[in-house]
Amino acid sequence: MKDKKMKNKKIRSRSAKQVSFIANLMCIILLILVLVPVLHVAALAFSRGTAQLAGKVYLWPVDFQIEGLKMVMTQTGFLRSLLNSIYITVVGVVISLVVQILFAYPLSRPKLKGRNFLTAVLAIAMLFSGGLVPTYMVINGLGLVNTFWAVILPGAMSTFNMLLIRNYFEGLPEGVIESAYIDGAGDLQALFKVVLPMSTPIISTVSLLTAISYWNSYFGPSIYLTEGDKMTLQVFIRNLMADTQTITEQLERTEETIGLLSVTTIQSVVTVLAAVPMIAIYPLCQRFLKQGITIGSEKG
Amino acid sequence: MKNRKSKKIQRKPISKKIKDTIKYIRLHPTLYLMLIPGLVLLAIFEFLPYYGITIAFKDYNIFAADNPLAAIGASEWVGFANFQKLFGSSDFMRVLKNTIVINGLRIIILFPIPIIVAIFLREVRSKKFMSVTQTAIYIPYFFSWAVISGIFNSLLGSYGVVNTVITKLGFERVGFFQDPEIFRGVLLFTDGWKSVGYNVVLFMATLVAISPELYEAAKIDGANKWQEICYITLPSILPTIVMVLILRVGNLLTKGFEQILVLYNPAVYDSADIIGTYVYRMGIGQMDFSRSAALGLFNSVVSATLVIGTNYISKKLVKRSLW
Repeated sequence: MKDKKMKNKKIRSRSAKQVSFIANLMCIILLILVLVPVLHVAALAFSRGTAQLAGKVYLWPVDFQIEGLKMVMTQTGFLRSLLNSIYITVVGVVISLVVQILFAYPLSRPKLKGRNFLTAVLAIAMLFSGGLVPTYMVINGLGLVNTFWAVILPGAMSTFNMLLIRNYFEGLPEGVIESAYIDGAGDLQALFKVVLPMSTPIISTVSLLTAISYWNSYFGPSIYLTEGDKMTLQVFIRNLMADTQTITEQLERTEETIGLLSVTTIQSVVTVLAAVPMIAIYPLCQRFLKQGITIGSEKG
Repeated sequence: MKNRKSKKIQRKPISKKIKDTIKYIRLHPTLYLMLIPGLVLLAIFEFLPYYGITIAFKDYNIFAADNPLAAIGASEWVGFANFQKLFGSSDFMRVLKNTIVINGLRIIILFPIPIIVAIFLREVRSKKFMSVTQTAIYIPYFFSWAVISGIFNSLLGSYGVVNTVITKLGFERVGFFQDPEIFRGVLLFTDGWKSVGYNVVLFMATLVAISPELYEAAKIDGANKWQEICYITLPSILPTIVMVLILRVGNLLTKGFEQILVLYNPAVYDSADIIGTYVYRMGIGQMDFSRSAALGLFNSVVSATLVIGTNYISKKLVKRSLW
């Protein structure tokens, strides 16, 4: 009996060692897989073009330079596209939040009449998409092409995010809201003075989700914002990857950069610059989006 | 109880119901005004395109009127001619096959990875190392596909660092973005690179909710670590696994559009063109509106069916559903 217990203990400690070894090894492999590509592109952005062409750059800059950064900032459409992206993101988040909060609140009221109708409308919208070509025609037909509205408005009423907000509203203590009404508050007052102050977690989560999706979106801006000065950051990067001709010509025009910068250096600088805002807001993302995931999974 | 309730509802006359509704609207007019902005946006950008779908059954001529929307009404009906042409074309079979193969591989290969990672991440002894890893692998989820294309361009391009290493080792350069078969691998790898961390967080959220008492009890019963994983951890997250898997199957035809649009090039159209990218190129690139709207409609109908079907299975199987 005692022997068996000892044996069990032995197996236990051996299996614990195996599992912990695999777990640690797995973490190391994952860290390498995630960090190496990011470090490499950052190293390229600050390396001399000739070092890059010779294949000498790995994870650290070789023959350090910041001319690439300067050139991207001053001589390309980078700043313009950055400002466009910021504008779209800020206006987009504000409009989306207003529309979604205003929609979510009535839907969260327990006695609302007409709820079945609204649910049906939302279900149809979520399930069945009009498709790319018909949507394009509507936006084109409304004359929105080459205005920022073409990329801000279509996504502003995200049914998924609106339902996240509504679910949160429904989870708030009904007694508090009810008593506000008894004290003579109207619907708007109840929403803004009672419900919203209790809802900061979901509002921050949804703002962040919305901001990321506006900031990162590529397809809409690529077909609706075709004029050069309306280009967004993501479209700017993608064009830079696909069309190396323009950069090559620009590099050849300026003498002092010959050898110092290569096409890849410039591409890497832009990639790094576009990644920086995401890394900067990352701590926020981690905090709020975990909340979002838990909220989503509880209700899901 | 339930019976009585339903009877009560039946007994209520419709006229009274309408009266109640009107009374409620009179009492809370603002609630209904609040719905207007959202409804207007849905009407314009979700439901107005439904009208545009009719061009799938027409020979759409964008110049039939002075506005692309008005031109829809002015174009001639052709019945199912667009669909006949579409289903008979070799392009259709090719993009349908690509869509199913690429997105099927995503499920088969990429779906299990975050589950395995989450399970083992839980077993890492040093909490600090665990949270550092979790934090680091979550970052790529926030990068756009354009940024990711920039990163992997410099890594996997013809003269990228991976090819430098390959040639130094004495092998031939690999055309990661040119070889049709290898490019599918690139699609899978970059998708995994972007999304594994996010899915790990998703599964970890369920993992931390497992009661520690279960593990204590197992320890007392003499279970070893492997048995703990097989008999406690896995069964505990099974409902989440089934639910996420079912969602993935529901997205089979639509996933990967923006990724492929950003990463691919004409050299790999044969193996990487999916329904979404093909509709885009044909519809907006070549202005073959009617035929691409027909394919888009096919895509929407099949997708909606898949989502409803998989949701039904999820409800039956794990008692969880989207609605």
